[in-house]
Amino acid sequence: MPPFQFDLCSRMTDNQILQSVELTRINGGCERITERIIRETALTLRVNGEIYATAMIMAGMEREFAVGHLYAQGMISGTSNITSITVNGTTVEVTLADKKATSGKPVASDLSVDRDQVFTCVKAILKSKVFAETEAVHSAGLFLNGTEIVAIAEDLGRHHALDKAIGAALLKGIDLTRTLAASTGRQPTEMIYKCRNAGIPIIATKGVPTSLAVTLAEENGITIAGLVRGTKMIVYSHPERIR
Amino acid sequence: MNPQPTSIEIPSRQLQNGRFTDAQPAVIIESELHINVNGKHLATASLMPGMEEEFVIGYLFGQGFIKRTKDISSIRIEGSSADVTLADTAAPFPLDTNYRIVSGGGRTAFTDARLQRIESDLSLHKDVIFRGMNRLFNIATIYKETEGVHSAGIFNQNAEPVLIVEDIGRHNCLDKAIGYALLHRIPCTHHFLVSTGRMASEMVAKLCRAGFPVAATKTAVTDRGRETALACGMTLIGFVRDTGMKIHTDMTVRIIKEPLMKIYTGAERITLR
Repeated sequence: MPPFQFDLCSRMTDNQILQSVELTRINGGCERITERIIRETALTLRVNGEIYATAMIMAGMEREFAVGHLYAQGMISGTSNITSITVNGTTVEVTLADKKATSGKPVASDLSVDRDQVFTCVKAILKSKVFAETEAVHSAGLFLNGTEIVAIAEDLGRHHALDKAIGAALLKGIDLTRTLAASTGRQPTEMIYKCRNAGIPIIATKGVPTSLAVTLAEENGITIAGLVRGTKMIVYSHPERIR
Repeated sequence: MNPQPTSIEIPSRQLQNGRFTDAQPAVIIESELHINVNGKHLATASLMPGMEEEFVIGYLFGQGFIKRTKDISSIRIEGSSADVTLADTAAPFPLDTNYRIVSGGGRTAFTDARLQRIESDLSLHKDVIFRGMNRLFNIATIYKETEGVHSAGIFNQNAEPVLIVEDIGRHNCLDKAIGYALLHRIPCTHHFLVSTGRMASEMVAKLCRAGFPVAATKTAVTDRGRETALACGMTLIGFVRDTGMKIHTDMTVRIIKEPLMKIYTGAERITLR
C-alpha cells in the first residue's frame, strides 16, 4: 500500500492556529528570536441554549469537534439527533431534537486489517506540519477498513483530536464500525470510552494504553495496538482483528 | 513515593521479526477517584495509584476551590472515593462552577478565581534548570519502564529535588506536586517546577496559584499558557533539552546534541554566568 498523502490543515490558515511570539533562546549562545507557537481557543459548547462546557482546543474543525464530542461522550446516537449546529466565533450552538444517548454496548464489528495497514495508518497521522513546527499537537485519524482516509485532525489534546476526527466522519455519513482509529500518545480509559460510544473497533497508537483501558477494551470488543513503531507493535486486546 | 504497585503485566500479542508471539508487557495501573465535597460529587479523576490525598488537595487548590489547606476540615480517602469536608460547611459550594474540557483530557469543574501576581526574587543559573530536568528523567523510573506517564518535580535553587511525581496525566502530576507542597509547607516562591507536559493555560494557571516563580518543561508552551505566565510574572521556559536527551518524535528517536531552552516569559530570572 502506498503511503497516504494528506494536507492536515488544508482548511486553516496558519495564523488561525499559530501565533508569533518573541522569546529568549539559549542554544550555545543566547538570543532574542521570534517564533510561532500554538494558539489555544476557549470554545463554548452550548446545547439547547444551555452552556454544556468550555473546551480548550486548537482552532479549526469546531463543528466537527462539537458533533464528535457529543457523540463520543454518548450524548447523541447520531447526527439525526441534531436539528442544527451553528458556529459563531468561539461559540458552537447545538440544537438536539432529543437527547438519545448511545447504548454503551460493546462494539459489534467483523472488521479485520492487515498488520501493514496498522503501520501505514499510524505513520499517516504523524506527518503533521503543525507538529513539525511546534511539537505541541496530537493527531488522530480514522481510516475506512484501514485503507482509506476518512479524516485526520490535530489538537492540543489527543482526546480533542479524536473527537474532531469522529465528528468529521459522522458528518460524512461514514459507518464508524468499519474504521480503524490511529492516535498519537498514551491511551487511557477515556479514549477507549470514546471508541466504544462511537463504535470504533480498532485503535492504534505509537504510545501505550493503561491497565483500565485494556480491561475496558477487552470487555467492549475493541482492539488496542500499542507501541506501533518501525516493524514492531503490541496488541493488548482482541488480537484476532489484526492479521 | 508510591508504595502500592503502579504497573501490571498484561497478556498480549507482540509483533516482532514479522511474527506474532505471546508477551507480558507492563502497563500503568489507572484507577478512578470520585471526589465528593461536602457530600456532593464534584468530579471523577483518572489517575495512577498513590498520593491520593495530595492529589485531591492539589486539585481543589489548582482549580481555585480552596485557597489554603485550612479551608479543608477533613479529607478521607477510601477505596475509589475521596470525601472532603470544607471548614466552612455553610458556604454554598462549589461557587460559580463551570465545566471545562481541558486539553489533557476530561471534563473538569473550574472556577474563574483571579490569579495573583507572583512575588519572588528567585534567580537561577541556566545550568540549574538543565540539572533539574536531567534529574527528573533520572529519577522518574516508571517512565523508563512503561513509557506511559508524565512526570513533574519540585526543585530548590541548587537543583536538588524536593519531590518527583509520575502519573498518567500531566495535570495529575501538577495536582499531586502542588498538594504535596501545600501539605508539607514548601515555600513554592523559593522553588522551581519541572514538567514533561505541554504548558497550556490551565497548567500555567495551577502553577501560578501555587506561586512558583519559574516553571520549565521539556516540551511546548501555548499562546495562552504564555499570556497567563506573563500576567502573573512567572518565568516560563519550554523545550529544555540537555545534550544526550532522547526525544521521541514520530517513529524515530532524536538525540539532542547541543543544550537548548526557550524562555518565553520572565527571562530576567535566568542568569547565564
